[in-house]
Amino acid sequence: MKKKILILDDKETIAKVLSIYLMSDYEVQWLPDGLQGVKWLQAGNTPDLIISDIRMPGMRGDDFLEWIKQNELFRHIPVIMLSSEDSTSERIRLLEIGAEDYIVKPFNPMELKIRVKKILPN
Amino acid sequence: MIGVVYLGNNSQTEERLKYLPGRQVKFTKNYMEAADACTSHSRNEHFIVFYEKNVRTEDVTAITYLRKHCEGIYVILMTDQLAGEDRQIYQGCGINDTLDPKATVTELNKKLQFISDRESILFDNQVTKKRILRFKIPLWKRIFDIICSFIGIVILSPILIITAIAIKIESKGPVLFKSKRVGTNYKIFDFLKFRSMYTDAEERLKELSKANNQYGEHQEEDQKTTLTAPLGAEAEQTMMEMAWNRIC
Repeated sequence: MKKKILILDDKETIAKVLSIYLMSDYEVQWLPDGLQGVKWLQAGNTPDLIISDIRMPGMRGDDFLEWIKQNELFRHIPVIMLSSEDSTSERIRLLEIGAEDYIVKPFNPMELKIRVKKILPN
Repeated sequence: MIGVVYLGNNSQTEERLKYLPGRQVKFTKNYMEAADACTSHSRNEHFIVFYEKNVRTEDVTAITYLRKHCEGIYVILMTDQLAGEDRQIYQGCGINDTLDPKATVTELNKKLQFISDRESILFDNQVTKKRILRFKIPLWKRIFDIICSFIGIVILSPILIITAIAIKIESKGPVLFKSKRVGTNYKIFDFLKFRSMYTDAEERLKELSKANNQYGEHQEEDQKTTLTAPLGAEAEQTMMEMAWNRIC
């Protein structure tokens, strides 16, 4: 059975590109913001990995990360954060909250896939 | 306004909940009382239930009962740790969130504020299901592309064959050059072109860069491209882009 990845990004294009690269090895679910992600998890879904953007309407990616890492039900799920801000302080902040990895946009989808495979080996 | 209900026996948590600013907390000792508290307030449509973790089987019975009898509740399990199996069971019976039993008044209030700010969405039972839409080429378009491309290739084939022979005679290497392009649904495919540069163009460029003269720039380009490049460029625009690549 394929492992499940949840993508949180308000831009459908990013979700499409990621799904093209990841779909062969993983089951991909896309939702447009963090709040929808919270509801999806609360509906009984548990992904093996979450890839989340930071700037999203409704609920920001960093707020979502904080929520998930304080929640005993879901804190074990690794989260990769996507950010357009290449700053060390931002990277440290998110890693401290509990992000597994931090990737700066624009990114190479192949690089992301390799990082995903390191966290979720088949 | 969201109502707050506490179900448990932890006196320290009870004490902290009493100090929540602007909140009237209803303290209950069993799930029947809690269910009653979540339904008896007409001014509250939604309730947050702080549920103190106890024995798993009893917890499952209580939470399942609350879920069945009360609509519009957000259940927070007061626990500092959940193991693998427990996680699945508690999530399965309807726990929304967790909070450390040692959480301070500020942390309790932060959690309540988080839920209150997003009340309309969090208490809405509808879960958005987003599907990544893929563009599907209509069948008629595909048939049109294949037929027209095929006719184009047949009509232009004399010119294309001559171009191919000229490229082969003029320089070593393959007639066609493959270039990557992004197509429908971001699928990457090989875009075919007539080769217009020498296969060792990069090496030639490095050698030429050593020669520093006023014509260097023009010479560099001339030395990288083959003599048949203009012919190939013309032909590839007519054939490759319009025909073969469309079939692929």
